[in-house]
Amino acid sequence: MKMEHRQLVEQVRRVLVVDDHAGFRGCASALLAEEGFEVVGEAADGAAAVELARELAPDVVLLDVQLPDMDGFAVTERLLADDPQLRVVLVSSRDRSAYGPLIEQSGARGFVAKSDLSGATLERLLE
Amino acid sequence: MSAAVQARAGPDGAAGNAVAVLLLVGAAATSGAVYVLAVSRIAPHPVAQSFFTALVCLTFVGTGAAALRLQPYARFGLLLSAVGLAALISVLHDANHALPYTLGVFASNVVFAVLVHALLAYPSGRLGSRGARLLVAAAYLNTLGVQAIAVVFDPLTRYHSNHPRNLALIDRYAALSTGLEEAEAGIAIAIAAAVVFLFTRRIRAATPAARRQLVPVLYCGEIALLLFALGFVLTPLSSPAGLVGFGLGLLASIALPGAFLVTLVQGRLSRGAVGDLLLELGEPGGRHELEDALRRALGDPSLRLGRLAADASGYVDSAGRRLELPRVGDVQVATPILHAGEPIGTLVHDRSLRLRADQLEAVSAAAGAALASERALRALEAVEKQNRALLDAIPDPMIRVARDGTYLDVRADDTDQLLELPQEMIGRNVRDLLTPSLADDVMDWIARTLTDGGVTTFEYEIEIDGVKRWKESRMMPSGPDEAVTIVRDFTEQRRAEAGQRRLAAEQAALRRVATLVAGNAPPERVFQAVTEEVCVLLGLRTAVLHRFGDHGTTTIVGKFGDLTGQFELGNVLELEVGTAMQVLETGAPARCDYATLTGPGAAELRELGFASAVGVPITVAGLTWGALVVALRPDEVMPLETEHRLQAFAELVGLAVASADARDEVAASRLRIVEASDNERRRLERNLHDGAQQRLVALSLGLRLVQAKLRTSPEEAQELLLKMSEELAAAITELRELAQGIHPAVLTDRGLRAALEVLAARVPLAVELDVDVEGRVPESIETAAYYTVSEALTNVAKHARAASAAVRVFCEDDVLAVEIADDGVGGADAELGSGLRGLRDRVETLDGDLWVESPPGGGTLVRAELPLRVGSLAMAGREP
Repeated sequence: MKMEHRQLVEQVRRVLVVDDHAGFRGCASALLAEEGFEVVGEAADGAAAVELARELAPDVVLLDVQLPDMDGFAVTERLLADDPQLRVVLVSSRDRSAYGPLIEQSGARGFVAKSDLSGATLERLLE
Repeated sequence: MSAAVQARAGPDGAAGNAVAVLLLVGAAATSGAVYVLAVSRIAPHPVAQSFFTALVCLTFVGTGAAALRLQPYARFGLLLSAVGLAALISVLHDANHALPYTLGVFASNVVFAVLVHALLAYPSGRLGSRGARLLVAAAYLNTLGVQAIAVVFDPLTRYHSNHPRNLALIDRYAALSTGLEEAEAGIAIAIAAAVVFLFTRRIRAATPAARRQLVPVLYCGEIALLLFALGFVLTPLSSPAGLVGFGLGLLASIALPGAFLVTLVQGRLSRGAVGDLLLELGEPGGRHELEDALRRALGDPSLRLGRLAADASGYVDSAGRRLELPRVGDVQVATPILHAGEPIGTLVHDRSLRLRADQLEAVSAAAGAALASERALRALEAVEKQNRALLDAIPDPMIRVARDGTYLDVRADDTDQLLELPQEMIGRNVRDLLTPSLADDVMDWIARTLTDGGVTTFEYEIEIDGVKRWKESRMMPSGPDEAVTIVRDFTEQRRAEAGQRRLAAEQAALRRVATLVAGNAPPERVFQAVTEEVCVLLGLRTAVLHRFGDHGTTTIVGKFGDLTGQFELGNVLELEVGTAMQVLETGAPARCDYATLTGPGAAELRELGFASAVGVPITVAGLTWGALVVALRPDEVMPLETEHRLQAFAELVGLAVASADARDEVAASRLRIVEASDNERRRLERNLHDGAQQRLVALSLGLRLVQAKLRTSPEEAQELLLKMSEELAAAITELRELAQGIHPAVLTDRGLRAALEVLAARVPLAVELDVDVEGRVPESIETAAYYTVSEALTNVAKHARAASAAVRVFCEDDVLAVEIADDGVGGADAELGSGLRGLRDRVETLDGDLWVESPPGGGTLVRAELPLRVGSLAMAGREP
């Protein structure tokens, strides 16, 4: 099990960070890098996220729900349309209750409140 | 004498007897005389003598008998009869026997004396003067005394040789008797001359009335006397000549009764004049006319008529002056005029008229009747004057009208109330002036009034100068065949009543519509109600309410009545030349005649049977919003004030529309306030989310990173902490500003002036601040004023490109006024900027107003007025 987990984690270490707040993107990238993830790219809006995902083929997309051009649920739909195997984790400064069933319906792997974000929480969601 | 007395006692009974006796005596005496002549052996011409003697005697006796019946001439009548009888005495000259012959010789000349007596006593039968009495005495003395002396000495052989013996002969003394006879003749001539002299004097002195009476009789008498005198003169010379003289004298004396008869007939004619007088008095005339008529009737130009003075103290003449009554012995005497036994006037006239007493009586009676009628007339005039004064005091026209409908008299102060001028009406018939049906009514009323006799009141309508007027006629009879009517005009009253009724109906209709408007009924219901009320009120069949649209269209939003075709509710029509278009173009009431219009709508209306239309504008906020149009059929007419009345309804429609618009505006304003509030929440959430929250999230991640770095790279951790403390400071600032934006704390704590000072200091341009407010104003007002300034200054800073701004806040008439002026580019639009619109909504919620003046290049002035009273009420309501 542990081996499988490690293998899985090692398989999914390439992360694309999508948020319109540069401060959050910086912090999140630094934190994930510190915790052994490879941040392959950053995007500030939904369109750029879809573009970079196609280009970089990340394992995980850390996607903010509230974006200037479209919301995270719509972006998730697009990303999964391109690559159904892609792991999309939604983030928000609001807590999970703000979105409720929308998160599962979107097809995203999980949701994490921004204040709870860490390599460990991300890994737990990816298991 | 007894006959005369009897004659005086009564004209018909006693006088009739006296006349019969006299006539019998006359007839008997004449018969005796004729017998004497018939049997006479000595009469040369018995037949001619008989005829002559009978003629003379019967003429005098007949005339005398006639005079007996006329009371003032009774005595004279007797004297005339005496003359006739005396004339018979001479017949005895031819008697066959000595005694009658002798008596005849003695008395044969007495006829002269009786004639003198009669003439001098004319016309009263009395000898009025001493001279007359002396003359009469002399005449009798002469013809009886001197004759008697002569006869006793005269053998009387001069006339006939075979005459009977003179029984009285004392001695034959021819010379003496002849001398005496000559003396007798001389005396007779002297007497005749004296009588002529007396008569001439008397006639000259007589009044005209008396003269007319005297002249015929006296002149005839004079001639007869002179002929007699001639007979006297001739007798001593030749007996036949003397006889001829006497005969001529007697013959001439026949003229005397003739003249007397003429005088009597004249009197009869005068009594005819009384008839004329009565006729004349029937004619209207003045006071002098009556007097003149009386003068003519009595033949006395000196006659004066006295009327009993008003105070009954005496008499006044026709000129109104006091009339002095003649004294005893004057030429004139006074005869009282009685009426109903009471003295009513007096006639002052010639004494001689007393001789024509019956005539005088008749004239006096006629004068009495005239004066009485004059008096009644005066009384009537007085009453009439009083009535007239009363009528004059009545301002209403008075019309006298005959049974046949002829206008007899028309009096009116205000001739406008009449069909024609009074002078045009008088003499014309009601049928000439009135409509046939009214004329029929009037004729009917006249007949009814004259039948019933009392005052009857009628009401009627009449058109004078094209205006219908209401009249009331009070009619009463003013004569057997005429009625008088006082006509009162109560048109104004009727109009006022009708106006009041109409006004009440109109007010009720307006109230019903106004109730709908006030009850916020949907405008469509108001439109329907207005068209219906207008039709019912004006008695019309159709009304339409137009709402003008853009591009020359109109929508039928209200309709009442039988209008069909394109005029259905909700139909949108192209405006064509007509009432509605005219109302739209002029913003004023309009009238149109469909006959002169060519559009399809007009054609359709014509086909539907409409002739014309009246329309009034419906004005909302100074613009012509629509029109209320009533369509008229040919039999429907609209007075000029219709537009006014329609206008009142149109105003209610305008009010309903404006009120509905205002309600819509309030709803929109409320929506905007909700939206603004929602936007504000969204903005706050976004600001918190995007600002402080993101920073705090980043800080939280940063702290976790620091935790990790502390193990691997303490230096980097140190550096991260430094960045994070800056991030934390920024988050705090952001939160503070956010809180400040939600509500400035200084406004709550320190009031408007302090808050505006802080605000002005934060704005990146020079702001001149002038806050003139005593103490605190209600919180809602303070807040609205603060945000007005805040929003306006934000706009200035963002858009105006202004160098400076000025803010004035002051109280004025229970209103807090807020003004923000800048020297920027202007051109701001309160309708477009959401910030300004939000402000306006907030201000209007507080019952205030907000204006923006922003001419391009002329800076911008924002002015808000916030009523303090409503605010304080709102605040008072909010306090527990």
